[in-house]
Amino acid sequence: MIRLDLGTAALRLITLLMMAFLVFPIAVTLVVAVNPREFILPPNGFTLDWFKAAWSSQTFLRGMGVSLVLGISAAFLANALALPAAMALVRNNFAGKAAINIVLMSPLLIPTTIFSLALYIYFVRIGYGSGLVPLLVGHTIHIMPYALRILTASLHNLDPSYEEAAAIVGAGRIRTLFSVTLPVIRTGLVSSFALCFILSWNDFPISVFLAPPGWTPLPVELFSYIKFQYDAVAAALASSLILLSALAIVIIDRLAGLRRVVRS
Amino acid sequence: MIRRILPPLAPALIALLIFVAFPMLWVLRTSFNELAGGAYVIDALTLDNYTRFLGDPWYLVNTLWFSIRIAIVTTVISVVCAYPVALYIAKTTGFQRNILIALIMAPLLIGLVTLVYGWIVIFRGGGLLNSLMIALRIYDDPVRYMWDIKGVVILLVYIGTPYVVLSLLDSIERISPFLVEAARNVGASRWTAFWKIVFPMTMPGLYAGLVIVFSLNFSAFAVPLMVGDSNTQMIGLIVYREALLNNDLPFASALSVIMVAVNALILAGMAALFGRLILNRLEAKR
Amino acid sequence: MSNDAIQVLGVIKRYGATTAVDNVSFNVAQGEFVSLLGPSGCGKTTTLRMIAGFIEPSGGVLRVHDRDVTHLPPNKRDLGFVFQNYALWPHMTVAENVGFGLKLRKKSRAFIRDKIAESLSVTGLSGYEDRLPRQLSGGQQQRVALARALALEPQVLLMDEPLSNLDRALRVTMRRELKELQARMKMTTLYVTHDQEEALSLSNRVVIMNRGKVEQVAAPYELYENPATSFVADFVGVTNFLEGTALGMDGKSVGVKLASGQVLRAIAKEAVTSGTQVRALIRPERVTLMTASIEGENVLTGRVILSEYFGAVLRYSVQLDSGEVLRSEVHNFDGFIEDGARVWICVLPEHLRVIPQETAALT
Repeated sequence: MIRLDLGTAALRLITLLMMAFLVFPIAVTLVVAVNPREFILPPNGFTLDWFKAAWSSQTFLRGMGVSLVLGISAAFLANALALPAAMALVRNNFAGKAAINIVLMSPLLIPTTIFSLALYIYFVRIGYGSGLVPLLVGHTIHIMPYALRILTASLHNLDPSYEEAAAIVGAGRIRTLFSVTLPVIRTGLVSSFALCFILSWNDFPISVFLAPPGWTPLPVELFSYIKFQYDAVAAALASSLILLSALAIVIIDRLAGLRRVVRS
Repeated sequence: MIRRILPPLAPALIALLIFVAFPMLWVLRTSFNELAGGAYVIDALTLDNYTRFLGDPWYLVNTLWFSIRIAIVTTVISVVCAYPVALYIAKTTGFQRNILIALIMAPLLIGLVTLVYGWIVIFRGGGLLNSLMIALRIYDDPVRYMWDIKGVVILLVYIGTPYVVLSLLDSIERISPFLVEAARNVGASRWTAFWKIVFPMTMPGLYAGLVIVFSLNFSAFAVPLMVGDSNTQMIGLIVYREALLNNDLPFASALSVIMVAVNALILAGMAALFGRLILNRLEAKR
Repeated sequence: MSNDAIQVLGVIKRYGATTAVDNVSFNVAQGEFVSLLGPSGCGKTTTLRMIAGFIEPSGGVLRVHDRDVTHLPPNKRDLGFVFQNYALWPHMTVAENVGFGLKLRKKSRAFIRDKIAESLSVTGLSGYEDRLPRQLSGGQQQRVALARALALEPQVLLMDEPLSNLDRALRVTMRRELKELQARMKMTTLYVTHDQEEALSLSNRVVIMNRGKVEQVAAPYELYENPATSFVADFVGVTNFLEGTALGMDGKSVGVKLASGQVLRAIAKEAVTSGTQVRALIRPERVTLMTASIEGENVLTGRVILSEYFGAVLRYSVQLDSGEVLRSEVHNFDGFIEDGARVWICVLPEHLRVIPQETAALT
């Protein structure tokens, strides 16, 4: 690219500093989570006590369970909604396509605060208040645009002749979908699912507004915990979240290339 | 054609209609309602909720204007931090590049709470920075450090910068390196080449980044909730508090409407500004 | 009850303001090998895909074995189709690719296995059952695509430029195998290509298309010897054109008055009205150059301006005294004619064709 020498060195330095800045809190959390001395650094050893405590806490286990089920369900629903929409968008050109695309992406444009509030007020109005259904709905709608984006990109790269070939040997629409289309976009599907899961797993604002008592997702549990307590158990928990996210990042990167996925 | 595209699009569109469009409209409706007895929402058509906020100088200055200021400041800082990083990453390839991009994306894919927690650990009393500061005798009571505006600013910058980096990166990579070489060829210094060639061409990415991060920061509520104090009453936070803690849904709705309106206004301003900048540039090139 | 496997009747396809296929009609008889030949964008692929059912026609009728299939979905047409890019399903093995259609028809496992083996053996790929498409070369993938189409024993085989992604040598080999296969199986085949060599060597008849319209439908020999339009004359092989006016007809023979005033005698396939603007066509290989002066009818004179040596063939460009440039192609030559040398050309009336001068310019 551009050949700047001194300039490049300066840029590299700044970048390194920025990366350190970005990574720092994550690293600290991970370190504290295994540090017997909790927050006093540098660590004087290595312990899994905090992890054990975190993972044996009923509250956290329940929170993890809720987040897990919620994440999987929301990811599944979001993809179920997004896949047919993506197929319709990619295969056809019609007037208003751009408009429909914007509409489908609209949840991205609405600040999460307002979106969560709106859903909350809406469900209160129709008699639900906070609850599992609103929570699931909130998560699903929030992550759907991401699924749509990945699936659209995936389908874009899908050669239409695969499906034509299936049709000409006698496969109907449904058969073609399951035997040819889905397997071929397998990697796109998986990365979409992984991303959706991660976004749901880590979500805070929506869960805060819509989660019913007794069904608190993990991030909200963590928040409550750290409001009043400062021990490293929270660090262990946060680390678990980080490690899980890291796993998902690797999966997505391997399968779909991380960049394409998060870009607006 | 309609027959073919409507069925697959229908579920998503209907879901959005029911769970985005209606709720948003409902918020608007609720903003005109009244809160009776501090607990029940009754249908009304009153502007009280709006006047309560817009007529109160405290709110206007310490919440609305404050939120705008914070959003602007954090956005600007994010951009300044992001630019060099984006420029550098644009030059890397292969493994180094993948690592850098993964690191940039990490905050985006790790939850808010976790990230804030990391910073809390750094800043809290007895924490890392604390120990460091005490050792260096810079500060002897940084336990308060986190819980105010500085904490909010740091966190918003922390969360926003990756978005800007990615936006800029996209723009920068579309610039052909030959353009810069051509400029150098006719005698431009590196700095001039950057300012006159590269920078203008990154306007689209810059604009996109600004839009995303400003909106994000302006309406933030989780960050001020976790690390803010009474001096950081951002509008998003007030919405949260009024809705969930005070059960004052009409007021919270009015605030949301104001939030959306102000946000939209500012974005429109940005669009106009950038539109003109880009247009001027094209004119100047002639 | 006709003998036709495929009937294309007045088929039209419009995309907005553009007409990609404009009132195309032709038929393919049982067991025939017909090619759709033309430059890219002429509508041949669109036509084929309409027959397959991948595209809805804007108008017209399509019949396969007397059954109206115009609006039938592709999975109900019972046609074989070989794609230009093979379209092998990447997540399935060769065997699974070939057997997929049979599985859909609920054939027994044994039957499928045998049919796969048979199809692969016919296309020379026995033993490749468990390979994945990405492990195969282009030529091998092409054969799998063909095997997949043949496994279902279709009544009609449609092929969309199946060889165009292969390198030259392989193309020639595959072409010969295809021809042999088709003849043996007596498979009705409709073949799309832009390569005239392929079309001419493989087909019983060729449909030449240009800009969405059919220019001519004829056997290869007929196409070459008696092109109906300037486009066909120029697209199939190389042609020399001489502009002129038609004079009276005498049986099949017609006089053509050139711009220079010279009158040539030519053969016209159809009656030509006296006075119309026409083109006289002659193939380069029929243009024999003499270095000594000759007398007689249809003698043209000129000067050699360019010679190109191709080993087996020698091509000359001759500028006639009247200004036009003729190309001459010589095989079996002894001796070269130098640039600038004066030559005499005698053109036999049987080798000179006449077609009306169309108002549209040659593509």
